[in-house]
Amino acid sequence: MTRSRAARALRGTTATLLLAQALVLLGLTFWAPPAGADPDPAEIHDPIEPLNRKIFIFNDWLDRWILEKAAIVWDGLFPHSFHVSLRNLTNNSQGPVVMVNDLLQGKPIDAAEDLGRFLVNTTIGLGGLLDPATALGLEDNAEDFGQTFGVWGIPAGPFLMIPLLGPSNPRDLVGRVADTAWRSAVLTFPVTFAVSATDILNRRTLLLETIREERAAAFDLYAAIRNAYVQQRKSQIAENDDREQPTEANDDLYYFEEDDETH
Amino acid sequence: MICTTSKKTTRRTETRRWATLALTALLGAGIAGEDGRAAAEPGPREVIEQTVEEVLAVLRNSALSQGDRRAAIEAIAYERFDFTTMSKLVLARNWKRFSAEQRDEFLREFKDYLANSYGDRIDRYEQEEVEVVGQREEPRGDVTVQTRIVGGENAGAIVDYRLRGRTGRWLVIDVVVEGISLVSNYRDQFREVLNNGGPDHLLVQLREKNASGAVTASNGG
Repeated sequence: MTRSRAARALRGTTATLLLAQALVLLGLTFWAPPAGADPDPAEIHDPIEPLNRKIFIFNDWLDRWILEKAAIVWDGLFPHSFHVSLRNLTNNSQGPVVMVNDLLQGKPIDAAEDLGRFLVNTTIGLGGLLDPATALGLEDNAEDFGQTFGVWGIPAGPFLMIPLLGPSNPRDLVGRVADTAWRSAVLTFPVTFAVSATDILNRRTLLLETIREERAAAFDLYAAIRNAYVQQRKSQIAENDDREQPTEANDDLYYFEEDDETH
Repeated sequence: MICTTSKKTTRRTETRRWATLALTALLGAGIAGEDGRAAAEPGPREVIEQTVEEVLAVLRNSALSQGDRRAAIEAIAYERFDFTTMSKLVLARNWKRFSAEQRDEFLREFKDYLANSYGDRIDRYEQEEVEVVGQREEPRGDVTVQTRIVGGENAGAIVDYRLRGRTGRWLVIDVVVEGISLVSNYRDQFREVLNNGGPDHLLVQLREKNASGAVTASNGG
């Protein structure tokens, strides 16, 4: 029952996406306000912080007792190069989704670049196990639907901590469903699920040391992760804007009332 | 700026030069000294290029022990980072809640903390190269220098350095890794700690982390 409801939801999202795509093709997206128009750049909008923190404690516990332990096993089973290759492989399989999002964001040059990447890595890169494309200067634009919605001017909404999935917001959550829907449409849902599970385990393995260090170094791990997530998503969405432009939104970060003491 | 003009002295600017000298005398010799150095000091991009070169030279030097390497990189970082400004930016409006002694202690401990937590990570960047890809003028005189990691596991990662040149030398005031600003991240964390217990509480936490070497110890693997 749950499954059919999920399937219906996924179909619904696909329909929305097709509509959105049609709008782009018709050139109707020019009305979209500029990206990064979130109200307060300094403080993160987190109205349900108490609940989010509870979910975070749950996720953290789950990670310590299950995912991290599984990752340690996975780490011992295969050499490091295997983990990197597997990550490359899943990155490469995202190629078509990235291309679609390049186009949805009105970036045909990036779409061409990602097509080139996909072709090079799928052939010379042995199906994507290797990543010769990056060395050739074809870099992964790593676009997803959440970013596309951001580029279209849809606000992120409040910060959310999702059970099992981690930091997010309503916009990225819908984006994630769209990403999954797209892949499921090609691979079927069970395959997508199995691939995702392996991918999560593998990526967690590559992050073993980083997360161990971050846990020890953080003063407030929840605040650290929330901040990193929000900052990274903002910068990924702003990417397509001119990189030469000053980051006005950060003005508050680098100057404050007491600053004049510095002189 | 004043000195750049006086350097290219021509008869036409002679009067301006006198005015400049008078102004300099009024403002005190210190400012003139700083400003004079600014003209000769390397620009923000050169600062980062030099730093990257120096750090990579240390990392590639296999004759150095891990401890020596760490010490050498720390010495380079202490030269190029403005820890006072970083501390102020990280504490932001809470800075005024700190007494003079608390500020001094925060500065010392935060510097040690950063050295500990980032020192460990340095050892993982061995085979990678860093290229400076561009620079961007920020409001009110800051400059961001953009670098990119070439090769290795993190190939293509963008690391931005924000520099401020107010004291005559360009010093790093923030590091932004893949869009994540270090200053912003610690500001958010410290805000939480300060809201719960004030400056002393934060200082205790910093001291504990530095003393226990929690960051270093965790890196057993």
